[in-house]
Amino acid sequence: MASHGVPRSSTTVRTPQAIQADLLKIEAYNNLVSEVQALRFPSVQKSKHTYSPTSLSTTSSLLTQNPEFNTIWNFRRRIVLHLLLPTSSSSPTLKDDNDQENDKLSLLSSELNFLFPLLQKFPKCYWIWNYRVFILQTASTNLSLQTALKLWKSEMGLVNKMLSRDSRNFHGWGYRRYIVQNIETLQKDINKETTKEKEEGEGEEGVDGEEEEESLAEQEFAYTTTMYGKDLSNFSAWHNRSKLIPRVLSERGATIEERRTFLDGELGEMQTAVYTDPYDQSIQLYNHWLLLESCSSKQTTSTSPVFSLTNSQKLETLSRTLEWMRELLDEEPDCRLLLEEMIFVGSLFRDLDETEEEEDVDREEIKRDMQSWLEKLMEVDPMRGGRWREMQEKL
Amino acid sequence: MSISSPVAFTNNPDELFVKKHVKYIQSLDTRKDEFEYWLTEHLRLNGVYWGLTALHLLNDPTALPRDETINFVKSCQHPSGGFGAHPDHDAHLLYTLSAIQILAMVDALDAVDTAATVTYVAGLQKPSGVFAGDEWGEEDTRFVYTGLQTLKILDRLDAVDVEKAVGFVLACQNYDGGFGVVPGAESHSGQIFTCLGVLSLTNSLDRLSTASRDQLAGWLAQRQLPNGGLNGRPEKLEDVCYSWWVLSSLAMLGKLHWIDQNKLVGWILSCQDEVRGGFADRKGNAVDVFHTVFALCGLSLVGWGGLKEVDPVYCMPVETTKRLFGSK
Repeated sequence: MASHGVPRSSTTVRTPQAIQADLLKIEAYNNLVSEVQALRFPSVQKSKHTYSPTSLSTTSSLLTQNPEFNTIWNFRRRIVLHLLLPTSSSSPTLKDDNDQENDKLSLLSSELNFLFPLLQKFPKCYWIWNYRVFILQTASTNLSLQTALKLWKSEMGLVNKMLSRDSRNFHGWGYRRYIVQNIETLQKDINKETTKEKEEGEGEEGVDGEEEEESLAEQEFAYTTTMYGKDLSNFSAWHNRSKLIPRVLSERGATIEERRTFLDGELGEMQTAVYTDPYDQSIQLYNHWLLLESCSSKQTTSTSPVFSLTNSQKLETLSRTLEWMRELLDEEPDCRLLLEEMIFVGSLFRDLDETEEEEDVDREEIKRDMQSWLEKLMEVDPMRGGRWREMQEKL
Repeated sequence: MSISSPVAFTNNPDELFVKKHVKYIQSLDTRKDEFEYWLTEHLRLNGVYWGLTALHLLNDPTALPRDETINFVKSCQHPSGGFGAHPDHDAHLLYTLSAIQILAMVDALDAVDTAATVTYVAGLQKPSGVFAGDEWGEEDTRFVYTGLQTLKILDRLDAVDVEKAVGFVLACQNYDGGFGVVPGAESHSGQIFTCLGVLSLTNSLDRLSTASRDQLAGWLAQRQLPNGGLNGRPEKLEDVCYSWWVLSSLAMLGKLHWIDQNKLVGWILSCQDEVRGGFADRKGNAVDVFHTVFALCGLSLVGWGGLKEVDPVYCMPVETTKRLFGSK
């Protein structure tokens, strides 16, 4: 009902054999649906037995055929929650805590294993991702912190695989951020516990559990470097990078000077990247963020600026940027993205206060240039002519 | 808007196969011998909403039988007040909004227990202001929109904390002007539509600065590709459904003239199945009702082809929103 990328079949009419085959498929499918629905709405006598491992495997058959059937995922959640209850064990002997933990772990792990091939086959199905999150959240509330952490950590492997298959998968990137957040929270809780145990158990032997790094910001920052290294045109990676930088710099305890060096490094990389492909929006957008964050006349909305440049440093950075952009424009005079970015850099420049050492920079010249870039834009990018005409009126 | 001049469309209205599209939509519930029909039961109520909206825009609002439609919607309501996609399916905000929109379009809101619906929707708002999609708690800016639109149609926005909901949406805005699923997530045209929808229906679009609105409109205008079609994110393929997500967003920002509407119309028309009716995501692909309604909405928004006017905030005919909220 919402198909993407499915070629239209050339034949208007199915053969009678094809219809017959479809009818058989439909009958088998509908029988399975009826079976699961009967488990969801059991008659009074049977009601006790529906949340069982057998029901779980019946829903597996249905969900493997149709993972979009969200109601069935919900039923599966109820089954899992029921199977995790201590009273659901049919064994008359009381199990010790360790056995119980192992049983729970094996149930939740097998759920995760069940989902993996489904995700590979249907990487854009919201309901599978949601269910996976539910299993992990359930692990956090039902298992020891250490065991839960192990499960969450092994998700990084899955998400790496998913993103190496489709480096722009929206679900994959969102899931990655969510996993990272949860690993960090769990590690923080574990570290808190370890500290407490150490304090209480001073002098005693056998206090285990090393405190580990809570923040994964550096690791994630490095991941964005790897991803754009493979493909510069990966806006998802650039986006994540822009979100991670403020944290990375603050965790490094970077001084103003170190932040500036960092910025220069990023801007230098961008210069190379834009030269490599001046027609790529992803790179230009990230470059746009760097300049907006560092060289805007207004302090950005965030309370602590990421890069604290002085007014003259801002002017110097923008001049430098315009210089290489002008050179590139000589080679690529029709590049609309470059022209648009140059107008943006020019307007940042003109918004800044004038300084004394700025004699060699002619603001009027920049204004004239901006007008000519705009005229060129209207010529090479008539599709967005309405926007350029509006901009011209404001200039 | 003195700068925007009327668009001189080069495509002839005859190129839109109105009758075939109506027939295609009418045929949707007769396809029970196709496997796909059964696999998409979880979208049945949304399907009725998409089909009905398309028929309204095609100026044939009674092409689906009214009583049957109302009875089907009623059969999907849970005692909680929420709606499932089909009888015996769990309730979710995605279906609840479709149910209420369908009833609003056929002017039959009193056919269901709307007080219970208000309770259901209000119960899904979280302390951060966001809405969960259902009792299992997935959070997404889509659900802020679906929740608030449902309440707005029922004239019960007072049942939730609107200020907090707006605050959550604003926290999802990125430097490129766009919005993501949650704070920190990448901008995506679908989410932008829902976030601008929230800001519009709560009269809080002015909470965005002029600069960030222009930045966003510029980003949206970049979604148009040389063939005229629109994509949803940088460096992705064009798709007919973005003729709605991107275009309605530009309309809410008053910047429809920032793209080439004529070229877009030509591209949307190329995605029709000229034999059996309906629109596909791209030229030559299989059609479906989801892409059909958003193609028609796109054409309607730019005022092409004698279609009924669509409301960019509510994705319903303006006739319906005028009746609900008075003239704007």
